[in-house]
Amino acid sequence: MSKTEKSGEDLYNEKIERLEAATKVEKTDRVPIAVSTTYFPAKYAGISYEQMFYDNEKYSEAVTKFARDFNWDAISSLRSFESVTLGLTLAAFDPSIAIDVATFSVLGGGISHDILGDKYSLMPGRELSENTESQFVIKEPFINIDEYDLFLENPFEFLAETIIPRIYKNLEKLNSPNAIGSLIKLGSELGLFKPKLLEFIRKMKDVGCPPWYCALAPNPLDTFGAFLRNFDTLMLDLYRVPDKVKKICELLTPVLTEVGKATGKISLEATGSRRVFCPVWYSTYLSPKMYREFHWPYLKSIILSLIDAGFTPLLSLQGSYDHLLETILELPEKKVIAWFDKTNLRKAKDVIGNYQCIAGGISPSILIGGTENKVKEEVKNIMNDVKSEGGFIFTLPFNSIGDAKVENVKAMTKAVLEYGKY
Amino acid sequence: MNKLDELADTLANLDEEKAIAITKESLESGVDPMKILDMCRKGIVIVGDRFEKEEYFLSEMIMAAEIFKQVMNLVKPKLKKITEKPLGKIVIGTVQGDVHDIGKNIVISLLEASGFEVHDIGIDAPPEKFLSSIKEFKPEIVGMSCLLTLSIKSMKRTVEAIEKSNLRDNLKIIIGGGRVDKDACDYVKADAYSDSAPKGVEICKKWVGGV
Repeated sequence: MSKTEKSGEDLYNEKIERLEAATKVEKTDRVPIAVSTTYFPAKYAGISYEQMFYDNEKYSEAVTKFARDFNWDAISSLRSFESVTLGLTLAAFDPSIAIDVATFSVLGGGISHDILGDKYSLMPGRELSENTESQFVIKEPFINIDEYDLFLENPFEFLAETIIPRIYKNLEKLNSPNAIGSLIKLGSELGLFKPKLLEFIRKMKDVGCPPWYCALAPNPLDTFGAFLRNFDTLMLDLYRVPDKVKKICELLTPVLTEVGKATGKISLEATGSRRVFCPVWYSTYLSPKMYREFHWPYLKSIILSLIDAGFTPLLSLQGSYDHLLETILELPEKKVIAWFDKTNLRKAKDVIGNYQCIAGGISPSILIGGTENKVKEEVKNIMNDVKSEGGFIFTLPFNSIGDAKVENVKAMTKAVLEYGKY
Repeated sequence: MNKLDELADTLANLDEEKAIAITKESLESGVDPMKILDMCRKGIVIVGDRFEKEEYFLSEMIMAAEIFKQVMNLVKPKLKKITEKPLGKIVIGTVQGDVHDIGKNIVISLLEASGFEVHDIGIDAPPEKFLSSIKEFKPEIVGMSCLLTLSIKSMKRTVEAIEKSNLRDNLKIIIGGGRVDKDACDYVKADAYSDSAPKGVEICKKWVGGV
């Protein structure tokens, strides 16, 4: 038994090193495979999406089974984001509690959704059928355009007093038994969950599977759009109140930098991985001019701070980044992972070369509707074109393979091992 | 050049306040509302050209569509009756299982700005909703939108339902959204796909002979 455990640990360390080498654009034995798997292990292990969100034990078993059977270099099992704004509100009160609360929904599943009654998410087995993926949307803006100044003047008090009651149904009236009880309940569940999380990380070490990411650095524009204003309305604000949007981004930059560093530190200590997940969404919608005005300066500042603190920003450049590739060259060499989604990987490789590690893969549609042969061909082509002499990680778009055919995912794994050899 | 002539460029340059002011002034001075509408459409065409040239991206399209919508709201009550025939009819919805509608709403604004009659059947629309709307509105085109990967299967089920109901002939189907690509299009058996709203609208225009 102890021998098995040791070999699990050896495997774990070997994978950490393989990913580190790829990050430094050094040649390794083969291209690593690291994927944001979220829903797929649940489907593979035969549990419902409802169980995945609400039965942490079953989900933990499903993820470890998947990790053992597929033996990928890293996977990620973060789930949702309902408690992020509540956590953000507590940043000035106590950073460590703020982080715990913000990450509770990310790591702990659907329970914070039930306790807080947030208006962000529709959950499987709650608002949705038990096997529908959770969906995150803001229907009406939580912060109105005429409230920008209030937010800027006193951000945390404004969030706590005005915005939190709008977001969370159970915190609608903060001095009510319902709200006080809900917060106490959230705290006690959080206390129960923390040891379970450490146990899960240990189990993942036993099966030799590091996290693709377990730390998070959000950026100002995306955070403000996705959690506080709403996604498309903020895009109009860029034209209507550009200076105020910039002031908000300036205000949020140091706070979110600290979130990245704090979660990075926790993750590094618990898992040995230096990667900090930096999701980037608005980039796909913005022209280079707008991106450089409203998004990149703040994002870049956070990235540079993370690098200075010894972390590896994992830039999840969602949607298309084709028009913005040059920005990657402005970052210190071999210090980040540029994870592409719909961006043309060949073009990205042409522009970035061996300057930074690139992560990318094949279209999820092929895994859903294609054949095993087609999957194999696509993986082979990608490897031939971009694996180069190192500095490539095979991955898939964020949370995209819930509906993939199991046999196609197996064919993909086999092809990565075969054609990813150096 | 009178003020109205500036409206197309004003809209194309995303000057919201000026576009609204010109519209109001023109209406007050008795300009034919159809002329205002025509100028706005010209503006949208310029915006489309700039998108093609990659000067504009989606945020500019959203802003342009927003200005167009506001101008339309001012102009519409003054139009006695829209006598012109629409460029084409389209039924559009986000497929069952998906509640995202940002992409769909942008496409709708641009379709309307291009002269289409659009029937929006909302989000999380089951195949039956598509079927009943096709029967009711008799569109040339059906648009299916999604954000999530899981919706690709939902799109396939919807297309199959349309086939089974013998409504597929003479109907063009376009799928759109963040996760669609050629492989998704082949799998779903749609006629076209687009992950960009303006490109999707161009395809629709070609189908009804509008380009």
